[in-house]
Amino acid sequence: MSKTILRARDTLGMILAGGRVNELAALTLHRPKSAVPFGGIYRVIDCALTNLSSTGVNRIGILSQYRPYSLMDHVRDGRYWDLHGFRRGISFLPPHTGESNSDWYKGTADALYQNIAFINHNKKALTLIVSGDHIYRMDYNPLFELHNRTGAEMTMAVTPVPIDSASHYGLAEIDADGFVTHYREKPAYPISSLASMTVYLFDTRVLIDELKKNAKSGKTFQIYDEILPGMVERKSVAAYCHNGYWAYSRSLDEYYQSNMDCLGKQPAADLTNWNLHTNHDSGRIGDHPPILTGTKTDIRNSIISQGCSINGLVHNSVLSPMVRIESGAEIHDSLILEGSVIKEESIIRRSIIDKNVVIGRNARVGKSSETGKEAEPNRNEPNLLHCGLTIIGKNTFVPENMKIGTNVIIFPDVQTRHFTGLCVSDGTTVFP
Amino acid sequence: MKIPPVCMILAGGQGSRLNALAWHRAKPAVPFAGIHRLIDFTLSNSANSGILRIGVLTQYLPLSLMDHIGAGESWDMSARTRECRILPPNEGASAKDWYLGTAHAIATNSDFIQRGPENEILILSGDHIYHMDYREMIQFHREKKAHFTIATMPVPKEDAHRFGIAVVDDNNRVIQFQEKPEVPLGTLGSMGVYIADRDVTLSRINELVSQGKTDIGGDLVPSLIQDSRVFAFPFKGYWRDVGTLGSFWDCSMDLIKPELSGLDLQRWSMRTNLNSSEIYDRSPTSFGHNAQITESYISQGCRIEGRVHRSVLSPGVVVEKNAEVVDSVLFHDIRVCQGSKVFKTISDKFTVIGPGAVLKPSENDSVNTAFPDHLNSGIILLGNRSLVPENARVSGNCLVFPEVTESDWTSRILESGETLKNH
Repeated sequence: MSKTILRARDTLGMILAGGRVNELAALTLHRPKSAVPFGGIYRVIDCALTNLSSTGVNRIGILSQYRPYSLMDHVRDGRYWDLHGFRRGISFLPPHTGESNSDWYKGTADALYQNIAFINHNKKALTLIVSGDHIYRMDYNPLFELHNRTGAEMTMAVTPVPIDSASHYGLAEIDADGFVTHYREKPAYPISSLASMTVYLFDTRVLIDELKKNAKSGKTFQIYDEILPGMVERKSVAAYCHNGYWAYSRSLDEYYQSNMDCLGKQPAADLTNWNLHTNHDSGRIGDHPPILTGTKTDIRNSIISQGCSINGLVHNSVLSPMVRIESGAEIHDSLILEGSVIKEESIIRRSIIDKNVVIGRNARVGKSSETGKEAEPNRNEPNLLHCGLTIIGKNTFVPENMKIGTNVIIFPDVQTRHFTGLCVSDGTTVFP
Repeated sequence: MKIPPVCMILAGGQGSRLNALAWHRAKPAVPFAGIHRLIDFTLSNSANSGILRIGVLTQYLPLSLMDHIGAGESWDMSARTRECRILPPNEGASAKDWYLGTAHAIATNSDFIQRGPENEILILSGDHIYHMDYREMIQFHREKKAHFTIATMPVPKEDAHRFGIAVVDDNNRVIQFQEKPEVPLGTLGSMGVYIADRDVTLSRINELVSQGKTDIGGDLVPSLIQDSRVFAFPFKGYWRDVGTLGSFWDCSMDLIKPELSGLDLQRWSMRTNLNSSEIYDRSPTSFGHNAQITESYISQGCRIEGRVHRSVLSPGVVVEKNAEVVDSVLFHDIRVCQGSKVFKTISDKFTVIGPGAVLKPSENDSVNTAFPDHLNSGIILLGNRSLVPENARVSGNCLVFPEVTESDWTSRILESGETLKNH
């Protein structure tokens, strides 16, 4: 049986951008994971948006749920990804009241089910569902080729992962024709080392049938859990293997590492060649000026965004725009988000510092990896933070001379009065 | 507030003393401060002052200026009630004849001016670097019931002969005006920023032009002083005319020490068109393991693996290992290859400085033979898309023409003051 050849122009993109993701702790307190900053000037969702628009998918719905304002502000009308015009567009699809009691989205399948009207309205023969939370650069056209060639009802993207961490992922086994023969979500014993990237190219007709069935009888309302296995069983799912960089970034350590992966002579996350598009405007009146450096500047192996003013040392770090490093301050192995100020003589090691933080003079934050190796995990959230990082939430003020250890979480909006004493020991959490 | 004045930006100057930088582009389109172009200052000032209509008068219409300005959207000037447009030269006039003088340029665009409801015209120059909220001056003009207001600033006595000099009374009323006088009677210099009563000014300009008098400072102001209310609005702050390569270089260096110089673009709410030269989609600048960067001003999209000191870099500049860039201004997408040394150089876009090349002025350099008025302070100028070959030696006040290739270099050495053309 021959099918019409279907391409990007026949496809509606749906980005799953709703999740908060508890694992990123204080970083996702006020934003969904897809809006988390990355690589200096980007946000995680720029990967999905750039991948879709450069593939040629011009009509996109974004399924958002948790605190979507920074995401909506960032995406606006899609023009920064060339997704604004007569025959193109982005729509935000937050939970809304439908005909009967509509709730928060219960899962990925439920989110799509509640937006069947949107899917039908766009009349596209294919629907390409991608996660907005992952960091990678991919042309989805090979999925279309595989989908057309195999006649599969759904074609998914998979990527090789190290076998010892494979149990964290949904894993697929693929036969010689490219069909998925087995699929297991986070199995105790890995069946393969090919992880699902949460990229699903569906025949729209089949997707809608599956969503309707799931709405009636589902429990978890997740695609990977209740739709994928059934389809795999009837051998109607093909899989394309993507061999490039892909960061799941589900933990603080992984998120930190994915930023560090942007550094180096041949970085794994090759921002220069990825050519990600992003929204540079944040409603400021002026543009970000170029980077200003002073007499005490020493920048090595780092990425510095525009608008930064650096008169200290920055090694092995990634700085977002408008970060100020004052005279004699040192930044090592850290990630500093937009607008933060590190005052004179402070030393920052292995830290993630969120936006608009002020670190007062002569503070010591975090520890190097050797010193921090055996440090006590965070007492509040030992599973989230045990790898020797220090997290400082948005808008916090760290008083001068403070000593902050490792595996520490300082929540957003903390001020001087919330600190007891001049020292925050390893593993502590400070709340406002 | 009453309707703000319609703004006319005179951007037609030839910019000849900027030499190769202004050969392929209109002077207001000359890149400055990494990501900007000279006209961004007046455009940003106007947009930030609540101006609703801007006309940009320019003699040349190269693509880069039109691309840069677009419909004014980068300065939030593209909307139902706001506009910013380039005003083309009159039909039938040759490029040499059209722009007879600053007053004449305004007169030939009276249709654009009179199309709107404004009572005043704000006249600006497109190549000055300064930050000003024009609303203060507008209010001053209205309070004084002036017909014509000139923004003035104190200038050093020894420079007064280069300016229009205003002599004022206690009420800031201008009683005498001298255009570039040999014997200045004061030290209040005109900034080339004027607010003019529309009807009075247009009719006076028409009278003057019919007598062959076409200059605002030289003809219009002295005429108005005689029978109209002309006032001087005092301005204090950073203001520069970057008409020469020397002043262009000096101002670029001012960017590096904003607290000392007063040139602080971050405070000035400056906007530019991030789409021209694809500034927008460049990744952040990366610094390698051996990077050394001090006292410099670096745009996005650069890759620094060598040494950069006291320099201004536009987007996309690559400084390879063991290369050095000192006291220089490099435009977009220049490649400074391994081991090369670039001192006190201004380079236009896309040039390549070959491995081991040394560009360095010294004490005894002669002025440039072909252009002694342009290149005489030691600065080396590289035209766009030119190449300096491996191990070349270039001394001060040298000029390398745009598009020069390896085969144009008959020897690898350029002595001071030499010019290398393409063949």
